[in-house]
Amino acid sequence: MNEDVTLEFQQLAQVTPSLPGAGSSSSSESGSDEEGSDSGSSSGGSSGGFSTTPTINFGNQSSTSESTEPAATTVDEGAGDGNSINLIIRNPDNIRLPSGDSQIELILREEQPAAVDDSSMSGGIGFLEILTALILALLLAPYLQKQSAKFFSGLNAFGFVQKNGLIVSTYLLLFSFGWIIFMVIMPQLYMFDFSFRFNLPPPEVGGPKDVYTLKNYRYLVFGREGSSEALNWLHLGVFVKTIVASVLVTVANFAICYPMAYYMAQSVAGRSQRLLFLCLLLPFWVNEILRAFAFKLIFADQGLINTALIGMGIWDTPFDFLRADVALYTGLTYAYLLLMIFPLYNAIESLDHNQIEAARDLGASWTRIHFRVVMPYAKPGIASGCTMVFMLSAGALAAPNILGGPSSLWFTQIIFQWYNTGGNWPQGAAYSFVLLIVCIAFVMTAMKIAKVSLGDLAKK
Amino acid sequence: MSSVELDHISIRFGEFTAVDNANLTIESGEFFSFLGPSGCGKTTILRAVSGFNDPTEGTIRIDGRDVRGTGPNQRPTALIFQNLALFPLMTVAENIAFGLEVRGIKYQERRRRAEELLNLIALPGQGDKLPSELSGGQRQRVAIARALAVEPQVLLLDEPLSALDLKLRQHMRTELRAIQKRVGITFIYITHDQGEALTMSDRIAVMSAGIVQQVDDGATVYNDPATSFVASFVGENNPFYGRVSKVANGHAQIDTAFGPLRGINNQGLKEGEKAILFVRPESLLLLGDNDQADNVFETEAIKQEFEGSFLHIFLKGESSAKDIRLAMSNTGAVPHLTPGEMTRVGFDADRGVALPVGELADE
Repeated sequence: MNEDVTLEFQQLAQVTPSLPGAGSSSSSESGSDEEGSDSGSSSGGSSGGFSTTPTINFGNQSSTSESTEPAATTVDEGAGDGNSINLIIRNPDNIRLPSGDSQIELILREEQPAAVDDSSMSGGIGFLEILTALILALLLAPYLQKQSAKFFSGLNAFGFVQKNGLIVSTYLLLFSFGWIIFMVIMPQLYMFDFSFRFNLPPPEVGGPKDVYTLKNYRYLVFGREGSSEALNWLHLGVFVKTIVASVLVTVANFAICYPMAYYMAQSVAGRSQRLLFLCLLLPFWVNEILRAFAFKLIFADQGLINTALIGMGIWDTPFDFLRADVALYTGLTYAYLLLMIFPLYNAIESLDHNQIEAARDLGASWTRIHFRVVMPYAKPGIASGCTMVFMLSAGALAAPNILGGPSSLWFTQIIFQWYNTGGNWPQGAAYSFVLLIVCIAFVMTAMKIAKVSLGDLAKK
Repeated sequence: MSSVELDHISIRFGEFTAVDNANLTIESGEFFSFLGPSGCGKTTILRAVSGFNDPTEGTIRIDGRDVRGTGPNQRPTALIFQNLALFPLMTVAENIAFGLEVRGIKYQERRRRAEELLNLIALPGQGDKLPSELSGGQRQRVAIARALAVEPQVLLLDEPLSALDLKLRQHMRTELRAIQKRVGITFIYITHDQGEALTMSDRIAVMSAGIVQQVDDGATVYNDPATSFVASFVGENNPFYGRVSKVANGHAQIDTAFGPLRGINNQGLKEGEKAILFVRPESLLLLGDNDQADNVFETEAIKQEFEGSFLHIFLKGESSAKDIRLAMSNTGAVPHLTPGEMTRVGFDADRGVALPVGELADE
């Protein structure tokens, strides 16, 4: 069973069993040399407590274990599914266990210097994978295919090079196609490949155990194998909540930005317009983390809003904005304000003001003018802004981390935990890809319904 | 059908006076034009009538009712924009029926009305096209139909023909006039093109620098201009500068560089005043040695241009900067003037107009 943690008995003189960070995970196993299971089940099932480490943290462990043996302890967290670790404890040296109640101390040691051969090994494999995945992607995405076909035919005719000169065309190719291929597509494809693999320890990468699997995806839907629940309600719930909340954030953002963008694009000009732009832009010089903490301060129990409202006598006990996610939604909405305003502004600005006046002259109310004349015209900008805000909200990490209430969990936080504390990159990659694909599908569907084409998004 | 009354209106934007004390009444069912160079305030008047801005001073009355404070969406007016401002994402029928949609009229009824109007503008069955699929002239007519759909009492047109080419423009003049006759509502037409104003209008208000210079029918504006601006802006005119030396029988005699010349004195010029005598090119006659006229003078011929139905003769004016132009219709006998030849020219005293000195329109 390669999904289980294999441990070996060692005889050591003095060992202090300590696991940093994860205080909740029980680190001591008592008694047998048999398989132990479901040792760290504190994090999974109970909602709310999930933001603690899902798997045992292997960091900083080497200092505690003074191994005398050259044959290192093998630790495999392959089954680290967030809820439990199966431990296989082997006894190759036939160390005699004392009879009766005896304490066995479990030492977990980090496998660290493997980084060197790991990179050389996975590098070779990585290239092949990337190549095959690239071909796959080209077949999967007709849009991409069309673009690249254009690119190649242009290169064949040398028209592009002739038109722009060698230096400019190299520059353009490097920073448009090169950028997309090397910085976006290839790393993503690498992650995509990653998401179908087992989380193996570095020595086993490329070995016989390194085969493709759907288990990372299965996990998101069905949860741990043998779990009592039919589906992985916790993660699916967070996933759906993230999507729904992102839609809400997008809608709120649009509602706030549309009047502002309209005002700036059609009603005001010159000095006051520039002033407005500055008022919108300057706050974004403050970095995101700082802004998020500022929001936290404002919405805290003793924060500005509660103090003011209690002072005015609206209510007498502070309202927990953080728990109610008000702070989170406000923070997210504000974070992506500009990404909504600018596409909207661009779209509305090019609308001939005479059309608004014509509609008005024909008797239309302001509401009707906006719904019948301005919004249809600004549709590409609306789509562009909404897509941007939705995608970024769904993928936000800082704001949910800082402003999310104790019970609030954003899907990106789970992904982050897989990558970071969980140390399970394939699982994290799988989660990331599900999020990406669902977001894209969601946006595409919304665009289909609104009859906006992908090309419209790039329209100014 | 309503009359539009501009009761001493002035419109100012900060320091700038766009319209200065305009006072006129546009009769019900009239085709009324505001004619003037760009920037003379005619569009400002139109926007004030349609309700996009209120006059700083004075009162606008539509059908006798003060419309101050009434928004453009509540006035019985409809405006046709210079660039038409058709809604590009709506079909032609949707465009035409937009005003009806706004008024909550049901789809079927809207569609029927749109089809009626499409027939009126001679575009039957084109309702499902987009404006971009129509030609310039067709779009023009759609804009008219869209404005007419709301059954306005006053239709306001802001140089709607200026974007069209000459042929189409001439055709649309006739068409506009015909539509106005058919629907019988008041048209207020803004233009800088005197041809448009003269051919279509019942009456014309000539404007310059925010001031209404003259309000009259086309023939009067042309033949009996009230100010030097009107005389020089509407049609071509030859100005002869001088001083009034004699006033009698409705005529004034002005001592010009070409000697004393007489013209109609409808503006009450008095002896000794500085004045300009305006004579149209077509009023000037080439005279033989024995021919007589009320006013006769001699000057050098410069050149002549033959333009089919017309012959244009350029004669030396009082300054070299400005030639005297003479136009005669081609009656078969084309004179041949050699440049530098002294030529006798004359005109009837009733065809000259003596006016006080004032600004002239830029050529």
